[in-house]
Amino acid sequence: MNITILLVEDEKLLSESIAQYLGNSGIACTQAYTYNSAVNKMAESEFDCIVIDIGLPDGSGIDLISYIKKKKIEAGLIIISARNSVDDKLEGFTTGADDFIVKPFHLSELNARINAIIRRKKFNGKEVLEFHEIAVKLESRSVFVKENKINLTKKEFDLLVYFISNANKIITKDAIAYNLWKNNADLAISSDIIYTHIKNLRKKLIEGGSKDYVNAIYGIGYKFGE
Amino acid sequence: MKLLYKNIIINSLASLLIICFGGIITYFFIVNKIKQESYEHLTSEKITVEEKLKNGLPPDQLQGNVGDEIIIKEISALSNKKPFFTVVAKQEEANEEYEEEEAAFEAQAIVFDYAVNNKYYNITIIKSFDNDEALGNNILNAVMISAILMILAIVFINTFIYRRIWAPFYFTLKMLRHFTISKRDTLTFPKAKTAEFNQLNEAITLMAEKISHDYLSLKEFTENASHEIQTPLAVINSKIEMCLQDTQLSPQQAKMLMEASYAVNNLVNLNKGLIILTKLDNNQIDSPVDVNISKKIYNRLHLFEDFIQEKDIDVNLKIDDSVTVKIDPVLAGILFDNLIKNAIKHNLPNGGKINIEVTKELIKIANTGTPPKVSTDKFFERFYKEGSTESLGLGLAIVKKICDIYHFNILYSHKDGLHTITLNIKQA
Repeated sequence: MNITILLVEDEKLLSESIAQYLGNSGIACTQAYTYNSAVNKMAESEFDCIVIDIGLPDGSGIDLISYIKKKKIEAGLIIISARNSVDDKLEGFTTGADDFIVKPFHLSELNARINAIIRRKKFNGKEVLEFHEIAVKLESRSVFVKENKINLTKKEFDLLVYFISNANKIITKDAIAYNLWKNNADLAISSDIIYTHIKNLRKKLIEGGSKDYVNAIYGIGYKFGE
Repeated sequence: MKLLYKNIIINSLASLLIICFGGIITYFFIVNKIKQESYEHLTSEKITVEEKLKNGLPPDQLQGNVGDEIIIKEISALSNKKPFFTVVAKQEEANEEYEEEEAAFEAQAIVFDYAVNNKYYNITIIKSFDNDEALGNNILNAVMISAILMILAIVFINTFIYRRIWAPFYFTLKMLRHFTISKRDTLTFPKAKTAEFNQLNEAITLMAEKISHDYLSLKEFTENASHEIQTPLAVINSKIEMCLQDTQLSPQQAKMLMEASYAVNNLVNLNKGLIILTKLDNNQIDSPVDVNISKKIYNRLHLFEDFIQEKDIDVNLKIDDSVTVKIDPVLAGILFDNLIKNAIKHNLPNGGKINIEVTKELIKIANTGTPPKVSTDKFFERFYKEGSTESLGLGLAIVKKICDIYHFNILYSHKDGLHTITLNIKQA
């Protein structure tokens, strides 16, 4: 699957990191630093997903979304914002954004969200997420290892989806905590709960007949892959 | 005390004092004047008597012609005494008209010796003038009438005229009382007839404008600063994450990167907390609605289920499901988030307890945990933390701030190994 995204972010350093990270995951990333250049890039080519920072030097990200909706451009829309207020989120969603992610975020989180939106858009969520012998059916939230159904808890399922979305990447404990517990990530980091969930997921996958893909990277986090 | 009553009392007392003092002075002046006049009169009577005697009028015929009364005694020789004035008691004749009782009163008299035709007389001329007592009474009456009139005038002037004069002042006061900086009010006053009030209003308008301006710029600055910090933090975070992907990384480098990441993360959370506190400080909150407390608490407990299980915490609930509180629902969420999160975070590592009790008056959240090491007075202060550097010390400050906004009384206590936070939610 060839995924192309347009990244509209005026902070070049951040934009570069995002493009590099997504590029490593096989997502082609076009960068635009201003409202106008974003409009031009959209005229030139089509994107699966557009990631938009709200505060742009020559306009608002919200206006850009209105423009995209007016032009009937079919693309997933993710807002990245420095503001985390209910009002900002509401405005973003009512304008037509599919997701809202607050700065600062983990690159792995953004990656997972982009993947989720593209899956939802392209396959109506019916897509099967595959990683070697593991198949994750997103709509029914069921997991199979070589046709064997394995039962995961909600958190274990989310964790697996997150792992597969960021396969072969090193993911920090913080990023996992944020993905699973959002605002309560601090509680997760200060306890052994992440370890417990990963241990259980790993055990269930192996018992189901999968290879051990969960690699603990000492002092940093985990890597899902061979 | 109202300015009006103060004015009336001070003015009345001052006038009363001045009038009394004036009355006393007047009394003595008049008494003195009467005395002088009576002396002059008696002196001239004396001359008349002397002349009449010199001209050969027999002394017994003097009675009735001079003064009120004249007493002539023949004496053997002239005394050395000079003529002198004295006061004699005189019997008032019964006055039918006023039906006054007979009373003794004082009259002025001059006493002198006189020699005519080798005969010597001691003569006393008595003349009664307005007596002192009556005079005193008259003056007292005058003083009292003036005082009453004066006080009446003061009350009248103060109550009726005062109101009109001070009306602009009270208007200004009312405007100031209703002035709320966060609502971006502007103060405008109609032109008053009194110069000082206009000056006051001008000064207030200027001050309010300046305060509003400063307030707005400070608010904007705080808001922008907190938000602008997020982008560089995002850059740092993303760079660290990119570095961590490097397979060539030595364990030591990885450790350092993780430490940096940890610090950035703290900064992020700190900033989030400060943004919430700034919002609360600026009263940027939605209007309160009836929020069902039990629903909020069950909802939070559900969110924290993983952590409660992880620590094997025994949760005991005694919740009245019907209790509602008027509060911004988002703030209610933050409030219980922080309280329950604290109860989990600072609980025993394993097998602790959380007791939650909700009644119409109180919300009590108690948890087991190690006893507090130092004074608990500062628990609700910003950046207060106990020992562990894992907490930022903003959670309870946010809780306190929310409680302050809604006038909930919040108390911390530690007893029998239980940390208890009690919110008094009775809203007036």
